Amino acid sequence: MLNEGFWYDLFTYLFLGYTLFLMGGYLVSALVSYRVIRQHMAESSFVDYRNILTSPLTPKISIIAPAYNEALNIVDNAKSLLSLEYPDFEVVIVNDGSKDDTLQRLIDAYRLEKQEMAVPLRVECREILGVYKSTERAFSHLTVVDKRNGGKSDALNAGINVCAGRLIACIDVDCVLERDALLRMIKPFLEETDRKVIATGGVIRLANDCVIEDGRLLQIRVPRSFVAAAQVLEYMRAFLLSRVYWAKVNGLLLVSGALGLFDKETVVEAGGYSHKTVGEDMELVLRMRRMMEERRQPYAVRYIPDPLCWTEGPSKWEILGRQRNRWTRGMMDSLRFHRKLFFNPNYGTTGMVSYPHWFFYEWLAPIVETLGLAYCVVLMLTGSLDYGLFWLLLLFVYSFAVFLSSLAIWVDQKTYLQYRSKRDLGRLLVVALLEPLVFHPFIVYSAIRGNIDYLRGKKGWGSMTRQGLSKTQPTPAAPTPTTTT
Amino acid sequence: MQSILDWWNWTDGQDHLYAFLLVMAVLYVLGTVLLLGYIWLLMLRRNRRSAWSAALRARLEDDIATWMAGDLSTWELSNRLHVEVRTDERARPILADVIYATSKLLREESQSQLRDLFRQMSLDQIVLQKLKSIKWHEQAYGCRVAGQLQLKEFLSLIRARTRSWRGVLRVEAITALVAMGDQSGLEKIAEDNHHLPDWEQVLLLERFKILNSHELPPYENWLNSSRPDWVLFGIRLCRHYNRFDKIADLGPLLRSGDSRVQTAVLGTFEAQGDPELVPVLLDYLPYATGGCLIRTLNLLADLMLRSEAMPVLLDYADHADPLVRLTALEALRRLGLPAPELHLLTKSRSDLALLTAH
Repeated sequence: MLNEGFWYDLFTYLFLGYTLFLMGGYLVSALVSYRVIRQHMAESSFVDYRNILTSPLTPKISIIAPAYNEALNIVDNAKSLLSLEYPDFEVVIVNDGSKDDTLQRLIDAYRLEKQEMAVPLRVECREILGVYKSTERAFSHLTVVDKRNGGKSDALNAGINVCAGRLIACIDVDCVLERDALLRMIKPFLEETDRKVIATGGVIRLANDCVIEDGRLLQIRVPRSFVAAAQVLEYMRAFLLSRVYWAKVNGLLLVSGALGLFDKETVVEAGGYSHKTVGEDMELVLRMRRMMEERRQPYAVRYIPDPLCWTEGPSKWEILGRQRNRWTRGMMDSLRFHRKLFFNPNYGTTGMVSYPHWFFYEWLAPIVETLGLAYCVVLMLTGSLDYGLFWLLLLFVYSFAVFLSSLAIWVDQKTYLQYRSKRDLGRLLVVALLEPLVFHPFIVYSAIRGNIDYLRGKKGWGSMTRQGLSKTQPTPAAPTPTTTT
Repeated sequence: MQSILDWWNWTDGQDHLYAFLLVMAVLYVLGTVLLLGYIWLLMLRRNRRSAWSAALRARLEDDIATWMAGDLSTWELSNRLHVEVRTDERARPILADVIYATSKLLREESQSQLRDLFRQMSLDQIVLQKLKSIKWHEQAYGCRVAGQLQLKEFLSLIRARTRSWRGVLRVEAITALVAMGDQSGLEKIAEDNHHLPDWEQVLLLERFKILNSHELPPYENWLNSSRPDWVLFGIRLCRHYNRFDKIADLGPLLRSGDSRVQTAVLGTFEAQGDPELVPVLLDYLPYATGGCLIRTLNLLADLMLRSEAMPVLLDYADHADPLVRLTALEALRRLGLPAPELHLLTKSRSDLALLTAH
């Protein structure tokens, strides 16, 4: 019979081992990412992306932006997308059965006319009611698709059916893209000769409290709200220290729904976006990777570390909770649909490294963390908790969290230098100190709720209200350029 | 030694874990403090350094502009520049960069004076250092400056850089060779490099456009290369330099088996739009697939007479690939096939949604 001490030691070392492995992984990925970013920046310094604007060799890109009840900002959003810099592109806005006058506003603003045409139905989508094009030459690269409501995936699929580009950029309509975002994202598709690039992701940053004018980001600031500021730090860690690494080892499973560039033929062959999940972005990438592995076709999912897309993050706890709940359910769907990949050597890096990482460290981490805390509470109640060890463990984890955030801030300062003022840096530092104590437990709580909701069969997005991005005039002090390359 | 042994004894058993956690926590805290301190230093240094280099650049640019306007003799300019360099050795690379940037603004004939000044200030040694550096981005910068200022003494070093696996460096080296008109070096590139990705081709074409060099790269040799990437680049250069006399000879490349080469040839045909290409395209049509088939059909619809194009396109109006079918139907609509007949061709297919304008 094993004694109580054995179980105590077993649990303690299991939790510790898990944590150490996770920390080690973070540190390795941070170091590799920093090196990759520096190399990327050095390469970019030799390329004048604007020269490519006149090149006839760049493939056509279709930007697909689903819109649902976006009447308030849709005209400005479309204008912002139309003003992107790229030699050959079209903007396809898909009105997903909006209940407001989204479509009418577009028709009025851009003098749209319904077209007579045949649309190849290559991926599944609900009925397309009409395709509109502008009568004005200036807006000739705008297409508006009107369809019955079917959700984001369905709208994206309708856009895929209608669009003409060789590559498709799937974005959120309310995102602010850097003017040269497409020029930068095209690079991996043209760079590879031995492998087919099936998708490229870009860095998403939070635009809360930043100054935006005519769809252009004029001034970058750390948000005043703690919830949003903590997400700034979280996005910096995720995009600068993690995804760059995963792309480097060709193991990236997630190309954010806010901005991703895909090879259209591969998307169509994989069946387009799935209607069965709220995590359609990750699910599509996993399905594409799985298809390529099964075909034994060399491929890559690449990533551009430049900050290319600015979006509004939730600034209230309640909305943040819903968002993370949905992300958890989406991830669980993707992992469940493609469980065949789990430690399956036939699927290469995807099966042996990326999938297990997502399983153990993205899905399981909040559960392990909660179990660890519950275990401590049990020990506390039974009087067998070693308080010295408990506080040391907390200090160990907390100091690592602050160190990792500092590393992310440092990488940003050494590379893209997005936050220049002392005030912004001071704010980020305070957030880095508070975030593990306040923000992180809430994220874990939301993920656990997501797990419970998933098991209870909850579907759907939940309401995600936005406050709208700041459109006030910039203050004269310290205007910040959006990229430094 | 004794203290280490004492420490080891102290950490025996459960204390091992305590010590480990404590050491790690202290390391993380120290790491955080160091990172934050470094960020603070970076902020201070960045501001000072950028202010210093901006002021120096402005002074150097003013001096060179005055010299070029003839208001300052070469001797006086040289003296002033030497003073700057003697005062702070860090001024040397900035001076090299200012001369390089200035030379980009001038026509080729007016650059010899700048080149002489560059050599007089021994800045060519900086280029040599860069070209020999182990860092690829320094080598690339060296190639760029040497190419711009026509420093032909570095040709052999630049030629060696064309064999780099780093794309950006290769682009800079090839651009420098084109700028210096080194035909023999350029002819060997295709032998030394298996690959020339589309990205590098895009960059090179744009660089060639800016260079506006009199001597064209040896693209005709590349058209006959055994390396598909170089054949592709040759075709693109053909189109880039408007060598329409060569385009008709590209027909056999449609049978190359490489879809990228086929697409590039079709692209040049589209740019030329010559009806004489129709027989070549009709020969190729049965072998064309996917995107190439679509482009061929569109080209034929544009180049053939209506009466001749209709039967060709009707053959493809029932193709298994909905995109090919759609292309044929669109082309037929453009050529004036009546709407009822078009609807009849479309109606039976479930993979096409027919949208009306009303």
